[in-house]
Amino acid sequence: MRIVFEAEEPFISKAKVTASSSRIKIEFSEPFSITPQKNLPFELEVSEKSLVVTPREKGEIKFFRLSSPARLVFDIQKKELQSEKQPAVILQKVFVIDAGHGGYDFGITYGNASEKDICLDLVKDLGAVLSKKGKKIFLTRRVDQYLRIADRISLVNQKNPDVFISLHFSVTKNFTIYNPKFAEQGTDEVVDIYSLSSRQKRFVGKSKALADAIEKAVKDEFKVDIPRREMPIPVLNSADAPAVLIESPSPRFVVYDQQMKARLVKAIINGISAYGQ
Amino acid sequence: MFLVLLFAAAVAGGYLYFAKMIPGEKPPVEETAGIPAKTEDLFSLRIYYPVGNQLQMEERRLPRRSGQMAIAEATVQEYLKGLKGPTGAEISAVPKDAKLLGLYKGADRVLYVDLSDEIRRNFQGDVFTEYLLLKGLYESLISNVEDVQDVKVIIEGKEAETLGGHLYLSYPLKDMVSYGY
Repeated sequence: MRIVFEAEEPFISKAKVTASSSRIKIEFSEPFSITPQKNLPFELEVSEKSLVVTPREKGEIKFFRLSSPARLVFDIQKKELQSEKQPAVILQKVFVIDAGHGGYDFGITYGNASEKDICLDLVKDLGAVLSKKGKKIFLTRRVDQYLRIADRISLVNQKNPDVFISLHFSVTKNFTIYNPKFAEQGTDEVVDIYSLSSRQKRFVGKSKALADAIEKAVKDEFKVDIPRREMPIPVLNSADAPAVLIESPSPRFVVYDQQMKARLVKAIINGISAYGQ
Repeated sequence: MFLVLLFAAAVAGGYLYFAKMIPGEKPPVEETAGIPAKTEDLFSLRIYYPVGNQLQMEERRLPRRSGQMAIAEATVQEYLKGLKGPTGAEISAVPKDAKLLGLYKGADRVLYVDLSDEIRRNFQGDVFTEYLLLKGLYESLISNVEDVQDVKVIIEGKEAETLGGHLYLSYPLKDMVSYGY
């Protein structure tokens, strides 16, 4: 929607504008009269030297002060995705979220940024969002501590979650999403030792669906291609739940400020939501 | 008296022995016009380095080793040297300063490779980097050393659960590195 106020140049140039997503206030330097069109899609409140516009639908407001002719222009962009306004619906109830590395194992580092710390921040943020939705959240670690892979697996299987997510970093500028893989049936390996702890076998299909959904959500949020890999990663292969491992871009290429973390958490939430539908 | 004579003989023997090692005296060299006195006996090792998203095979020529354990030792040492690009910069993901501490072969034909803690401490990588690092070591050993069924990595003489926090070292490598890629 576009709202245009047109008047003589000095009157327009001295106008003071304040806008939020639901209201625009314009204060003029002198009294005025206004001739509005009929059936406007917003409320108009006029006083002696100011007017307030209240659009019927909230949206992002962009303001321009233009000349020839002098005018104030407001573009109100309705949020495209209705789902962004509405909280993502998540059907699963119990989640285990794993922050990679910890303690003396820093993971990937760049300057002062380390994988172990950023992953911990991310899982706490992700856990907080899910908690607010009434979900039961278990973090494999809540502090900076070393944790064996076997201990992480024990915790996952002890809590019997609906979803298990492990967060790590990639060495590249890409996200990478891993889902579990097992040896083909009928291989003549002497003993498939590595897959003995393969509790994941009955969830392989669900894990792939979860990885697909998160891949799409991350792709939508960051507008990048997401490399996918199927590998027998212990923490996935031994998890008795749908499980994925997400690698975020290296801190060498991405600054993990609050905005970046919030976008990543949002993408994962959207992915989990889509997986459950 | 016999002991004294024996001692004297030992001293004389010692003298003769050390006299041959006095610095400055070059050993006699058999000279043949135009032909080196001795041709070095070389052999090739195929080393699989983790570079980017794949393993890159490099052939290294080294003085011949006798015995499979000596070949295994040379293989690991060459692997740990890493791979340098045209500018001389390291291009492989082999952690720097990692050393081979020991090599043992079990009755089960599993080769135990004991590496220094730098292999873990200086590792900077993700899941796939770790996978290629271990796969490269495994492929290098299997390609060059005869009669080896599997390879197991230990660190500082002890079993370690993991190298980079993603994959197990608790088991020999063959199963894990045989999943493609």
